[in-house]
Amino acid sequence: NIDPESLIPKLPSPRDLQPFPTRLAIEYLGHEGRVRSISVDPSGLWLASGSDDKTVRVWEVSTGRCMATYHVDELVTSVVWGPNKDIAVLAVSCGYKVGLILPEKLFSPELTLHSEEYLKAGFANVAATDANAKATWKQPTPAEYEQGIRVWIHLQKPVKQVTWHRKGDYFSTVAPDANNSAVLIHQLTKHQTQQPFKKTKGAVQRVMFHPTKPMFFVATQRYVRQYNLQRQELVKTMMTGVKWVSSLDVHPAGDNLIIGSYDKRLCWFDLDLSSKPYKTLRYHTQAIRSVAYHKRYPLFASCADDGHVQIFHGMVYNDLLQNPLIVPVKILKDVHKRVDALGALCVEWHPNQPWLISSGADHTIKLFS
Amino acid sequence: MDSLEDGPQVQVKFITQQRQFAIPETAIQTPARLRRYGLSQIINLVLQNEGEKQRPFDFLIDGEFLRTSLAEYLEEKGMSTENLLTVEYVESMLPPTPLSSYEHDDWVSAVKAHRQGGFLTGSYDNHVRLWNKQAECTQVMTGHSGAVKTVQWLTCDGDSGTLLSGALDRSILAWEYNQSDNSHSILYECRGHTGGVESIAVNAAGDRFASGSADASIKLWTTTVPTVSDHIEEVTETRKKRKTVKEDRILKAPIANFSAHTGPVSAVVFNPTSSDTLYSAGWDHSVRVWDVENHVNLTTKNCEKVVHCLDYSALSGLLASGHADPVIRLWDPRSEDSSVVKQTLSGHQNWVSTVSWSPTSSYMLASGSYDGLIKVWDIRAKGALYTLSHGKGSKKVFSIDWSDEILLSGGEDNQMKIHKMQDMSGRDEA
Ligand SMILES: [Mg+2]
Repeated sequence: NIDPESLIPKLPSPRDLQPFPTRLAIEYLGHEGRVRSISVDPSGLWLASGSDDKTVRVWEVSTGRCMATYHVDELVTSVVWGPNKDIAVLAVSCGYKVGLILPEKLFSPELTLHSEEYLKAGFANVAATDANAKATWKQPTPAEYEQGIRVWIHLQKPVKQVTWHRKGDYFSTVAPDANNSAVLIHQLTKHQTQQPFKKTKGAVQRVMFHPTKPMFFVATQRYVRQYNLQRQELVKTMMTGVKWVSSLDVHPAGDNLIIGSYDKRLCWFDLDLSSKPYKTLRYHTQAIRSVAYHKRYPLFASCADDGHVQIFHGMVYNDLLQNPLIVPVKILKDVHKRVDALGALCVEWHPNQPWLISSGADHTIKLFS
Repeated sequence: MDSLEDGPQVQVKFITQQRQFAIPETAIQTPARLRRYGLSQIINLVLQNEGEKQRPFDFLIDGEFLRTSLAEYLEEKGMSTENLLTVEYVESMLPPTPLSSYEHDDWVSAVKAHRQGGFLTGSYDNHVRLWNKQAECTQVMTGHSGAVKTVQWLTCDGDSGTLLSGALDRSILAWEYNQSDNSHSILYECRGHTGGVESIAVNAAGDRFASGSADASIKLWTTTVPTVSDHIEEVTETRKKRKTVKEDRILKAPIANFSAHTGPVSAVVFNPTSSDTLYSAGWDHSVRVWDVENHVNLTTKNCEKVVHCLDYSALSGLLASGHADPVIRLWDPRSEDSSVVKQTLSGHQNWVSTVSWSPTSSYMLASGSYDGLIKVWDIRAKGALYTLSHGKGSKKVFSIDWSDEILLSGGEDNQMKIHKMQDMSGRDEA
């Protein structure tokens, strides 16, 4: 006599899955437009944000103080700190350009000088200008240099995303309108740009480097493709089942990934299991804008145009036979006011605390702890 | 006045930890209608305190201050008047009263009072300020190139003194000032941190100070004023020559570096009775005890929450830490156990950014929070004794200092506020 209830696996209670963020701690106020992108530097002290107000700002995480404002001439679509602790650099995309910023005063003179040299080195290395070049590396004007901008990379189409390789030398950009050269990979130390794929299938939404292996993920509207960069070959195609992918993040261990979609769904893929989603979650009532894994805690989050942020426990096990455990632990409601049908635009985790940061169409940035 | 024999009675055993107010521990037949005031009169009656000698007392039952009559309390708890009730009494602390506001140009991130010297503040406008008791700013000390995060007195002798300030510019400046001619100057600059200086603590002997930084290190320095700079490797500026105001400064290097923290160090505090014992806390969720002489991390306490502030009371022998969760934790630094929290105090609605023990009572503690509130706690009770708002709205409180009979607070509203703390409860007898 087995009680059938006992056969249904019980999800653990959120209370037993702490820590996860539960309450608003700090607001970062000052932007005068939608804040589309945020990023915390590897030290966990400095938060960068990019806005439709054509500024990039850097904030003191622990107080909400704006430490620096960089004026650019276009809407800022993406800001990402370099992942290497020894190089202080902030990559930003705006219009047809990518800028590399060295925020002064925030870092020690030693680190600042080292970063300066690292960023500049490639200018000595420039080959003859290629008329077909997909990207042109340029010096900033003296006024831009004074602000902190060290390098400009001009592309042929508007850039929507920048993402770094873990070592902080290579980074990739997405310019969806650029057809076959939508995805480019740039090498900072050499100031060189490559086109990794001769042809690109579908409209590229997001890309990401594998956290440990020479692999690369490309999300188009309906598919996520995993490529081996060394062998230049397609490894795997994941069928999302959604109509339009908006966002992508890869688990820090590299064998699971999540996507968010404009049709409100979040899909988790276990790369060892199947090319179909391991789980499809539908918690949001509007388009999902951003998804993010925590690098150290078993947590992930999504945010959407409904203005809400959803937080999940997501445990990945070393044991190949044990499937990931996914438990919704907290919904942060009405984090961002909806403005012109847009709500919460970006979520990011603090690199070493169980704190979540979100930014929105209401011009605000908020930290939850 | 009604007779003490009127109405329902309760058997009450009155106890106290303040020996100077102790009465025989025998049950007293007490009218159930009595509240704090009536009970206070009974204690004064037994102590034969009359006139000026009468003192107000507060009454604790099972860790809660009595705010109703005994009858209402018993009713609420579903208890009978037949039971023998044990009631602890403590000398009352009157509510803090606001005295004055000191207006700044920017966020006030650090405040410190001195019995003789007035008040010291550090601000996000990079300045250190000295104020007199009439809310006049007497000195504006300009020298940091980043927000000042911490200030400490070194010496204070009437009109003149020396002090320390630490800033986001990674430096600590030592200053001397003279109020009689409104002068001040930088004695030396401490170099060595690669991140912002969050906290400075001076030992009781006054010959050493420690600094905690966002670079995860604690550094130890002497307070002697050097005549020539220590050898410090300077990073040569390859790009445009910066305007330098620093070239005349005498530079000082640390005499020791304590590394064990794995995240920003938010607070350092010396044991005032032992210059060899330093406490620290940080974003790595740890509270640490250090043997200063031997540079050894003696014990480490972990609590899985970021620690934003720390204070030690020589009266209670306890450490109080303020956290992101947003709870205050009390620790016994002598206990070897790494995770035993002696007590937690809950009530704040956001990060507890600053804590300060009472200078005169082993039970009293003040805290400031990003919720904009200051709370005064009697650690014998569960909730806060008093809750004050630092300023308008719920602007963050960054720093408080409970010194003598005043409480200083500084915050995001650009104000330093002063509250008078009247008649310390539980003042320990020497
Ligand atoms: Mg697996």
